Amino acid sequence: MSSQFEITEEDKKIASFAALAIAIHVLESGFPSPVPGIKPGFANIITLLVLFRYGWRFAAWVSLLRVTAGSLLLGTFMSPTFVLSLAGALASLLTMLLLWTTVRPWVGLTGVSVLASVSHVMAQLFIAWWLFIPHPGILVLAPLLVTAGILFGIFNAIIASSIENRLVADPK
Amino acid sequence: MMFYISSWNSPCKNIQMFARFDLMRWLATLLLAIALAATLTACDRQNLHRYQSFSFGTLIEIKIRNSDSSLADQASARLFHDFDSMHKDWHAWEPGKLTQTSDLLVKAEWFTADDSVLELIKLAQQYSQLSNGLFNPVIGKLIHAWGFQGTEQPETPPSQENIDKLLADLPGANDIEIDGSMMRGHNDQISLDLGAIAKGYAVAAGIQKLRAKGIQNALINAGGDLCGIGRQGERSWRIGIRNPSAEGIMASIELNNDECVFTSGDYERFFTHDGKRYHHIIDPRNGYPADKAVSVTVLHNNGAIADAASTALFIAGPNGWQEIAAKMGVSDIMMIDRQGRIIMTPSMQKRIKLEASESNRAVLIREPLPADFSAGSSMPGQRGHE
Amino acid sequence: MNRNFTGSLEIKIGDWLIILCCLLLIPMAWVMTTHQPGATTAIEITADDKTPVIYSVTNNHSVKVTGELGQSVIEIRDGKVRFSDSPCNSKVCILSGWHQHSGDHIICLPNKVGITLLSQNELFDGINF
Repeated sequence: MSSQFEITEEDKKIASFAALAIAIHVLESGFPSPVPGIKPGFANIITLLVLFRYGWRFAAWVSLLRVTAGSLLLGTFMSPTFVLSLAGALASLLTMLLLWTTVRPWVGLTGVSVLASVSHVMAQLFIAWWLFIPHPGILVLAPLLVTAGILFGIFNAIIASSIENRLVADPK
Repeated sequence: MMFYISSWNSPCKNIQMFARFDLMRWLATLLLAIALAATLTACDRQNLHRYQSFSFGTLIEIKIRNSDSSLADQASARLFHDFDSMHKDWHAWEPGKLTQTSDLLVKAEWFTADDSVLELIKLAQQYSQLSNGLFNPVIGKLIHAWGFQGTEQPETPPSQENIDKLLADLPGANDIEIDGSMMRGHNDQISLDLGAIAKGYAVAAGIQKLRAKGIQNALINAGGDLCGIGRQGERSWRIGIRNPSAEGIMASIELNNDECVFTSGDYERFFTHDGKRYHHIIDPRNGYPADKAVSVTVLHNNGAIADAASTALFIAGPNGWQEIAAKMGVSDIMMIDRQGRIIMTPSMQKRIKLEASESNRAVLIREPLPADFSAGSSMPGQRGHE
Repeated sequence: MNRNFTGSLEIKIGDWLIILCCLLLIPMAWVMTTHQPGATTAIEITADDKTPVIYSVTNNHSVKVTGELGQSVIEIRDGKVRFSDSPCNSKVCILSGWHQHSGDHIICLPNKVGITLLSQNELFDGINF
């Protein structure tokens, strides 16, 4: 009758990290942003932490769960906002995957965070231009978005490392 | 470590199940859908066909989005040919079907009107009535006196005496009596000049011909007046509206399916004499170029109405346009007045996007009003013939 | 599990490279996008009933074309286009001044010379006037 599903320790970890990321995602969407399209992307801190602790498969789960569940909670599921979130998340996951599988020994938190964040904004900009606002004027935002991506990438890396330090100091 | 559903007592287990087992499948589906849509739009991008030719007394550009390029080639060639023959038939001063009709109207006897001009004259008469005579299709003599018929640039305005003489017996559209395909004139000063409706009629007719050939997406630009059907790929046809008093674009608009945008302005044809500028849109009430507005832009699904209304509303000016607009059934209007202010209807405001450079212009929002609500003014040149 | 990560913000060579590359991306994106979309990249001149000819607007130059009445001169400067001389007597085309939006037309009707402003990424499909 009832099928047996394996709920592994991993699943629980994914679920709890995803829950944390979703909470940050939802909270962040409540704050107005000074320039449309520019957000710190604090939820990515969780993805970053998970990546460095448990690898990119874990990070992919957490990130995709966050995008989906976050949009369901916010009521933006399948809306342009959701598509943009998804595009950004996929782009930064792809970047993480590439870095993780090729040059892992030579990069740390900062590099991964910055490159993921920049690819996140660029993917969103491109998708927005391509699917929603074909007006080429929107591409003018690119330099500004890349700048913000670098800054928040570094900032998020700092936060991630301080959280990680605490987790290490006080392993659960 | 293994957990079984039955023994794992988390309140969120169902959500987790859903998340773990269904998410993957539909994420894959979603990605597939996005990829497919992307492929489709990418393929669709290549088929814009563009043609241009001097025709109808102006430069005509036809843009067609279609997968069948030979159909587009053939349809546009046919259109240019049609524009040429319409232009010949409807020319106000070069001898042709329209000048022949004017000559017959002057004789005040019944005659059978030529098919090529009959429908256009009927429409012109109807719109002239709706515009309280401000759009007047029979004042060719007055326009001729101003020198705006012909390719030569006029240098001096006509004498006041000459204008007075022409105004004293100014014909109106109602001086043409039409019965079926029979026609009779009631004023020997009648001289048909359909310049304020012919282009609109022709461009709209062109669009209908394209549609009849199975073309769903097209834009015809006849010297700055445009009609469009369908879309430009994944978006609407996007039209910039030129600033009437400076270089550059002042606003933009996205055309709905089957819609025309026509502008009448004082900058299109004009001459300067003794430091004063005289343009080609003559007010039939005083015989002089209308001086109340700088430009009027009209959006309408009927090209002939858009064309005639932009002229009539231009002549009416900021204080008289609301009644004419209501009578003509035109609701999307933007007028630039002499002070450079933008006067527009609420429905136009929803459609138009002003450029950032125009942000310091005053914008007034006004509704078209039925006659009862606006101060009525009598219009000469509007007489019955019975 | 990857427990080799210490949580320190240790910056490795790859991090520096990534930050450097991303910083380089800013001016690149700047240059790419300041070539403004909708800006004219070419003009197409239709003279009389001759086949239209396309000219680039990337360098400043003048184009002379012969229409029905005679020679029109078209001036191209800094991506903008205008009629600088025309044998017609109304000079409406000259008075209309400089034009720079793709999709726009400048027409000298008496001489039957028309200019269409083109771009890769048209901001407008047509200009109404």
